[in-house]
Amino acid sequence: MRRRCGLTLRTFQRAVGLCTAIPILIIAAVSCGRVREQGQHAAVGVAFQFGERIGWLHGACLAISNPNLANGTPVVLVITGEPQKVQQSRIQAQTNSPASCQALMEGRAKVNAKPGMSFYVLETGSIGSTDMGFGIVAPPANPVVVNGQARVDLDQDGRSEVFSSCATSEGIKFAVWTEKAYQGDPRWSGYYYLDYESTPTCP
Amino acid sequence: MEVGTTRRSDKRAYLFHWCWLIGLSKAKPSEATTMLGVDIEWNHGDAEKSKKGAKEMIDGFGLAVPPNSTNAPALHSNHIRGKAIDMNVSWTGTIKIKKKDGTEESVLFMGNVNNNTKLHAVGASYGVKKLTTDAPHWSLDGH
Repeated sequence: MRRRCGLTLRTFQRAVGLCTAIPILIIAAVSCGRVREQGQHAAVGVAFQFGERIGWLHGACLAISNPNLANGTPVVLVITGEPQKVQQSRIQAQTNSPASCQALMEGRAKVNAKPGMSFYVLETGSIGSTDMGFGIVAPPANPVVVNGQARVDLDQDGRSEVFSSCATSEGIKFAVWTEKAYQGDPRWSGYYYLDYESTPTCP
Repeated sequence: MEVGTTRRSDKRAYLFHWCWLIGLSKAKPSEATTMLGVDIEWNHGDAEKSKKGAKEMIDGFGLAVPPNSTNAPALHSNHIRGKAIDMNVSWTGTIKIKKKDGTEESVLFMGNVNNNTKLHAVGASYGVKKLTTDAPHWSLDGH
């Protein structure tokens, strides 16, 4: 936007001279200022970044495509199960240790620790060692469990996001959908490689 | 190319399978089969003790317990038969690869290998088929 304002100014300088340009400069500055203000307002309503703010978890270890989560950052957990459960937690520390993160065990790390993926130990609270689910970094609202399913409008578009997980042949597929699972394209998906086989359950 | 897993141990699969079933009360210790070369006593003489021991194995192995799943880790698979490979394949831009019949295919790198049908076709020409639900997995029959 700044470039467009600058080009407009040069054009007018050539056409009508410096004297005429001065008032135009003032108008242009005011105009650019308005655009900048509008931009600031737009930034307040910035879209929910699903990729950076949702991850999957196994036990108290969160895997997420975000290397910048500070210790103490609040994370809301959706624990898969019937019914799904919602829990509050916080980032305790970033880790690359298989001792604190089952996804980084030998045989799994090569696939799970792909470039861009970070792993965080969560404050344990009531997270069980075999619990699996989703971690949502600072969601705009807390998920509410309705008929056994956690729902929350993450992108504030008036429609709720829901959560699904299922087994593939060698892992677990996690996904976030709008309104209904397995309908349309997922808003976010993640894959947890387990390094052993089981019967797939994904539809 | 980074190879992860090729052949998996059948003894490992046996331990995973039965500890999962017994630890989650989906099988009685007495139902567990025996396996030559695996010296393990599943039955501790008490149902709760047997379950507790098996549960410790589930935790130690880091096995997943998907909600309400009745599907234990498998006893048999292409990996156990030595007919599958898990690998990460990456490159920059587009590469040309020869299929088995000698024809050349230009293949663009895709972040999600499950979507790269051109790469799958090259693999298939050599009898290595892609399983499209699990990114690293290729096998003789795609399972």
